[in-house]
Amino acid sequence: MNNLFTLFLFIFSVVQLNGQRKYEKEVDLSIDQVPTIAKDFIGFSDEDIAVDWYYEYNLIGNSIEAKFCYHKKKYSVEFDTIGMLQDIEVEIRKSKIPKYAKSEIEYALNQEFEKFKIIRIQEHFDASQYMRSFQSFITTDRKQKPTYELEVKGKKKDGFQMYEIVFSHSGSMIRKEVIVQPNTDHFEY
Amino acid sequence: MSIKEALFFMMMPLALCSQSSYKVGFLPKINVGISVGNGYGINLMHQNREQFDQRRINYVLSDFAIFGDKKVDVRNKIALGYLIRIRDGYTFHRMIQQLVINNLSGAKMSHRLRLDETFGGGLEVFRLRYKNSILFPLNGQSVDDKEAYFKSGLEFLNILSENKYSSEMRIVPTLGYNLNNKTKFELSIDHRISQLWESGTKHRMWFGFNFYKKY
Repeated sequence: MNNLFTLFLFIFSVVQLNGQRKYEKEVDLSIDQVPTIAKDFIGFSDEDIAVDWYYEYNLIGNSIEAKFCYHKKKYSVEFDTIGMLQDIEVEIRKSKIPKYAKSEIEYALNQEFEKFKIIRIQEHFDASQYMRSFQSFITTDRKQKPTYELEVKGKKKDGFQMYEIVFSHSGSMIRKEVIVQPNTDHFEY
Repeated sequence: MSIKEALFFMMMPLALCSQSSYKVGFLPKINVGISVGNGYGINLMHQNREQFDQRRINYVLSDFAIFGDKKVDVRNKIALGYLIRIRDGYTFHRMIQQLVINNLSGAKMSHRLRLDETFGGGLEVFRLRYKNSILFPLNGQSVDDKEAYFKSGLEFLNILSENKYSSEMRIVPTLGYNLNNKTKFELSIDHRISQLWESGTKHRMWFGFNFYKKY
């Protein structure tokens, strides 16, 4: 019986190694490995705020990401691999979206799904020449109009799926993608 | 969580077991899941149990199971299963009903509520089980391809057999490797403490090697 078990493992492993897979991976990054430009942009010392740094490998282009909480808000700041700012994302509540955009978004979601639930909303700010530091972003650049990135649980005819949907500042849909759910068999059986 | 912390938690049941008499063995498992569309799936499982006894490894039993599951939400599932157990020349039949609620957006946690009824060898056993599992990536915020993880498992079982109630607790620390979203390998220590509220508490420890494949 043990030999059969080993044979199964071998066959399944070989089949898997030959398959084509999307390549995306996120790993921890120590502070020493972060480019100085990126660290300077964030500007916090370790004593001020705990910043978690990650290196993300993907097909579009690798990037460095800083995640932290500041004044009870969750921020995610993305840089390219040499430390130049790409974008800033802030987690917000639905009530923070301007009324006119919120009604447009709700209308679009009602058209798209039989049922839906908004799980998470992030304001997304692309890098601009005015973003010299995180502090300058907080104090001045927040006047820049963001886009809204929503994580939505939506029901269509074929059942529930998770979606990432991006809306413009005025509430028109820009992009919609299905979020592939991780395999959970190792939780269930 | 670091690999050192994961190994520390893996070893905790060993320390518990050294306090009293116990049985030790192996519990290798193969699990193959097949998605059949529209949220439906089939799951096939085979598990062996082998026990150390007088410096020998003795074969104890084999389980073969089939489940049909259905997603009732994005991440939550109900399942019906049938398990056949071959032990000491007897065949046991087990019917299984389960509900699994997965929370994967923040802390990756799963709640499994399972009912099972076993018949065979002149025995009838009814069990109500609850299992909580929490997943900790060993690198980054999520378990990506070719990354390791630590999974803590805690299960409580209420057992009714021949009109007698008994209970069992299972502590299952697991070190896993996610080759990709469809292939996982796990090493686990399944520490079972039975007759929890009665005299003569029993300890059993199974070293598991689990292989999960999804199609």
